[in-house]
Amino acid sequence: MHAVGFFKYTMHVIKASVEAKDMKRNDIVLIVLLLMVSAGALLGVRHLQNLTASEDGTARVFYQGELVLEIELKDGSATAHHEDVIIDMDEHIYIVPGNLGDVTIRYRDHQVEVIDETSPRNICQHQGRTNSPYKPLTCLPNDVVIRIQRATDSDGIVQ
Amino acid sequence: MNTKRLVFLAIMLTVSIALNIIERLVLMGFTGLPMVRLGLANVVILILLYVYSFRDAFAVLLLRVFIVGLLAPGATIFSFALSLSGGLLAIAMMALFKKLPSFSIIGVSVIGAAGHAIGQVFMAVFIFSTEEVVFILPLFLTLSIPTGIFTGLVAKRMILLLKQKVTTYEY
Repeated sequence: MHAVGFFKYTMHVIKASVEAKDMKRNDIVLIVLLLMVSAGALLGVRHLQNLTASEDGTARVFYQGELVLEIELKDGSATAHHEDVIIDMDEHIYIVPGNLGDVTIRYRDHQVEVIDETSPRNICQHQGRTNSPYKPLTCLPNDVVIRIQRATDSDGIVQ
Repeated sequence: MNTKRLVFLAIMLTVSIALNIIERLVLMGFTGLPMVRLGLANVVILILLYVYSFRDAFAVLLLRVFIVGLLAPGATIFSFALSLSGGLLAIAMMALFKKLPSFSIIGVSVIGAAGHAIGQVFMAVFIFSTEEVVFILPLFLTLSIPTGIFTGLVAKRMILLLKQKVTTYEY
């Protein structure tokens, strides 16, 4: 998303509304406060996601609350925990079952993403790639969630 | 409830259902962001809050959510639960802010849009028991500001039009 263009547009709308005397002073205070809180939180979350990005963690794929697949972010190797899971190691494509049909996951550059699934609004395809525990990919209608577990999360043992 | 009021509410309900479904179909192709909508159906709720009462607005909101849940192509129990929670929190916050004298319809609309985003995200956390979904809230909240201003402006113009054109209008 073009954050600067979006911000400029918002400011333009606010300015035009103020000029047309559509807003009261408190409206503007409310809008500016909301904008500051949400923009601050947005930057905070982005920062957190970057900070916690992990190149050697594990992407854990859950279907109906059960772990069905684990993908190693280091090399894309995967372990299936469900009989319907299909793993294509050459292309790094993994197919897991979903409520509305198969959910196709791709591994690339130490990150995972959902590239194909059947749902009314295809939300999880638009969520992009992840390798941060704070950026899970959720396919709500399919009841599929991809969570990232950092290598140090599972065991803190140093050998 | 007199006939005029009944007819007006029925028209408003129909308009909000149509707007909601059209918005679902058109905007997601247009913006590429499937969950981001202008919230045009909220214009109707806003108008009813100002022109009639909380009760009427609430009734239209509930009916809209149920009917859209049944009619809209691709609607699931998830999208229904999300619209319901978003709509309920939005109308609660709008009714609250409307009572405060220092906010105009724009401020009320913005808080409604923000409430819609918050309600939806918390419902998603609840039904999916995935707390991490909450990290998408800042993005939705940011987007709700311009959409809230826009719907507020539309509602304001609509109320003015209703006052001018429909002279026998009852408040």
